[in-house]
Amino acid sequence: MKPRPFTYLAPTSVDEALAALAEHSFDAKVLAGGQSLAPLLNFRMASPEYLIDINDVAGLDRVRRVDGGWHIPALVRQRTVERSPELRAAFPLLPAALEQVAHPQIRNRGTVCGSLAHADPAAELPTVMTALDATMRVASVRGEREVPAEEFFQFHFTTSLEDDELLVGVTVDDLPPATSTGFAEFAPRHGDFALAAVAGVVTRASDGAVGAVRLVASGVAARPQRLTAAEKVLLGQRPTPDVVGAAERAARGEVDPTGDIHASADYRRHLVGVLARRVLTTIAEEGDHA
Amino acid sequence: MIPAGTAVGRSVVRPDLAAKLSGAAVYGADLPVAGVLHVKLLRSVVAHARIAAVDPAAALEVPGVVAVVTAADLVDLDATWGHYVRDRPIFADGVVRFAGEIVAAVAAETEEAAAAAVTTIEVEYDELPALLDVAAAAAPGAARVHDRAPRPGFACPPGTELGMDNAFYHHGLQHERVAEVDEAGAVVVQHEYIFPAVYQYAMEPHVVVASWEPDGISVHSSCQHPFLVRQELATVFGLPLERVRVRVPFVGGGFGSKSYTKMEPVAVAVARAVGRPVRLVNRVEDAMVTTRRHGMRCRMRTAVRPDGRFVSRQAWIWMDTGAYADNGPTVTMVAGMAAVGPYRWDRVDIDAACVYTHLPPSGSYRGFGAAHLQWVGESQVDEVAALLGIDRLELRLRNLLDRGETLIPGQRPLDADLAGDLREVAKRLDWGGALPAWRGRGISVGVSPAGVSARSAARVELRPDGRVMVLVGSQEIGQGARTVHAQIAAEVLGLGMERVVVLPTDTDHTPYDRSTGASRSTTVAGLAVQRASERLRTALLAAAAEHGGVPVDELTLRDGRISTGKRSWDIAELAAAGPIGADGDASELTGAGPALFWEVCVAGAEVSVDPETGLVEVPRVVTVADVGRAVNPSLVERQDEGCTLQVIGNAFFEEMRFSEDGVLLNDSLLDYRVPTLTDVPAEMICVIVENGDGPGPFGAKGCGEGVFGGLTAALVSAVTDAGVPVRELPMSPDRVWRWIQQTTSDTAPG
Repeated sequence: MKPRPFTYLAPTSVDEALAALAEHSFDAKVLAGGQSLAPLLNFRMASPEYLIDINDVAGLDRVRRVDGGWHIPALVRQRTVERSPELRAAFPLLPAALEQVAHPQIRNRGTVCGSLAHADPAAELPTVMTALDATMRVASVRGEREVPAEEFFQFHFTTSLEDDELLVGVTVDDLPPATSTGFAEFAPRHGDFALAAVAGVVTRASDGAVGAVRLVASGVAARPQRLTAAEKVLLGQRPTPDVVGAAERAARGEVDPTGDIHASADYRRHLVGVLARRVLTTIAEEGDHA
Repeated sequence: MIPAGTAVGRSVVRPDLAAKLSGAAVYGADLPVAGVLHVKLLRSVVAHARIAAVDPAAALEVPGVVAVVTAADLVDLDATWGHYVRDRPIFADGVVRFAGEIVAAVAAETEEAAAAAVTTIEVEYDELPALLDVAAAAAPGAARVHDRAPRPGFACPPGTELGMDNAFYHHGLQHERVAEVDEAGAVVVQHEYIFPAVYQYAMEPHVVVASWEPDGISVHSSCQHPFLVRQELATVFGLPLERVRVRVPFVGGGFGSKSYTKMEPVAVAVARAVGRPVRLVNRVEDAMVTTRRHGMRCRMRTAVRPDGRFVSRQAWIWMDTGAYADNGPTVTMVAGMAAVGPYRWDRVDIDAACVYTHLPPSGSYRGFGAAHLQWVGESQVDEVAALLGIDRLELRLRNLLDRGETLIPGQRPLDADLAGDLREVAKRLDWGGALPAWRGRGISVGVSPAGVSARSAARVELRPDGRVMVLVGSQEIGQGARTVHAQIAAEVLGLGMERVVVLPTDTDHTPYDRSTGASRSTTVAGLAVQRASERLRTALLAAAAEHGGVPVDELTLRDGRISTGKRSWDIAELAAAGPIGADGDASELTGAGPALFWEVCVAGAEVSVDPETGLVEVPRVVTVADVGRAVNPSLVERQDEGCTLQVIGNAFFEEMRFSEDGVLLNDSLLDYRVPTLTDVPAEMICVIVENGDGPGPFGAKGCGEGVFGGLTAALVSAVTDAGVPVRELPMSPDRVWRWIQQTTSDTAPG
């Protein structure tokens, strides 16, 4: 199919884009990389009256250093982040996850912020940004606000963005010292949406015990789910195989996925445990050798 | 290997390659047709219902819409079709029997108008209970999907019994070499098995351009069997054969999905109603409810003597043919034959039933029957081997039939060296070598009846420009039929490939060919090309003898030139006054039953299983192309590789999923996963075996389908060898994981 007819708008500044969003609000969709939106339009699952193409908006296409972290504006392509030496060094979790996102052609066009705003619960980036405790910078003609990732993702394809708001960028704070990260997913075929994925960020105390941990799963709920029970098991413990095993069981116990035509609920629950263990095992080995 | 000829035995480049790569090839959707209307179909959204009302008023208001056509427009016709069972209305007539059945068609000036209008047709359904499970449908007392006695279609073999039950067709095989019961102490294996409904996924869905003209019907169709389509249309629309013309443009793959009749009747019905040419292009979601592969349930029992000698096999098979028979009875017959296995049994007792359900119709798909049943039988052989402590290869070799032995009474005796084929596979799999945990090897052997009919004819003509035109009704559907036919003609006539042209089919001009399927294009149609070419060669030499005033036996024909000792002429000179042609056919193959030859289904595989995720990877497959003679070795290898990939889809992840109401849930390529390049095994070994023992040209026999039976079974065997018993396909990670859980809990101590 082809999309229903729509009016195409191409603002060249953030202000113009926000004005267009303010005017058309619910009747508009924002086009960045288009890798999720274009299929939705073609399947007519989305039929906006206005398409606001932000690709001509100046100043949104370069990653920049900000106080204590990095800012990824709305037009930065996934592939750019994946290949950026600075971001690879600062957040190895990003390339680890991005390599699993679809295929290079799609990542060449698809934007980081587009994937976040799309909020597919099976997608990698919302999970990873939740694990990294990233902050969304959201703007409208009414002003700007910051939203933590955990509050941003709300439900299937639903974020806390208001109809007139634009996700102008995402900020990721530098990781504390002695922090290791890991990502694992299971997709029957590379590039497909994962049946389940787990991202982990673990900071070790001076005695090697887990001082802080964020463990987040996708594919098991309507949004990225923090595995708080598993995190609790890990906190204050050295991540020995026994502890990791206990965290695996906790993770399995705390998720309540639903089955669909791609996988049963039981299997997804099992996978989350396996993936959590794989992530934690990698992190533990890395931390032990650091 | 047999030494190559001038053309045969060489991996010549496909003559159609450049056209396909450059986009110059014209497919059905590309055909320029003046004044053509676009057709969109309204399909039932429920599986079983009485149609209370159809209201096209709103659709007729849409600008550009010319007509809405329904069953009400065809009351002057016996508007049902079906080559085996004439059970299928062109438009649902009062009742729908599957979700996706065609209820109405819109013809409009633009595709957009047709698409917009079709959604505005209002249909009122009175829903009825739907039979979605083949076992429930076959159970005694089940409601009937069809309440009328089945009417044989024009291609139903005389004498075929068609019953009133949902299980309307049975293929039984009962034979006894030794009339006794299984002796005490025999090892017996018995289980139930499940095979999924899958979709053929030819890259190009069905396309039909049809017009209703004063002198008859003209159709361009992406079909595999144009002559049977012609016959079907002539039957349904009450015209003599010569008033139906079917032409076939480039076809973007078939795999059985374009065999027999599919979208042609509805396209012609619309053209007839509107009096203008129409084009109907299926989308993937249309194609998936047009035809699919039969889902199957089966119970099988195998008994073997403690010394490893096979005693008896029994099987009860239920093939889910959906709401309409399509080619279901043939698929069921071949499934029954495949259940036997190429072994020396004392007793065989098979009942294969073709069963109506309220699901979309099922028909042919590459390797049918063998794909369904070979893995079932072979997994029982593996199980027996494990119980007896006999190596799986050794157990097979002890019980395999030899060349010339009877496989199924009344059918062609076995015509291949299966033991030799199996040893080739074992060698390349390092059979017997140690493997790490969760890795396994599998091996499998089977045969499937191929050829089906000797009804293929060809005409070969030398034209004044010096080129030779081959008219043969086998369709080029990507497999390379035109290349192979050109090679055969080039070889016989001593011509370079560039001087041989195989023409596309036009039923008004092309000699009759029954069908492009059952691996018959090289063997049967190819034999017709060979015989016609031989006659043309004789005619050319005779003409040259007269032309040059020399005796025929002093002439040679090479590189397009006829020579005596001193002089030579280009053969073009012989045709200066007009074409010289000759006809040939494959009638010498008549009388062998459906198996003009047995297609060999032998393969092996190595797999590794991730016991945590259930994901199976396939590092190595070995396929055997026991082709008698490889006319084009590269094409043979590509056939096996392509089939390997389809097997991997069918065996590991493809599955049409229906809702509890019988609606197809995964009707897009997002949700119905077909294999891609990332699914290609790391190592694909195709062993070409050339024993010169085929009935086709130069000792060839068909290929390209055997891998479906052989490799599916080898993969099941390998996964089982890795530690995971398999009774159901596909072996999706979810299922494999569950089977591992079950196996672990079954064998857990205490």
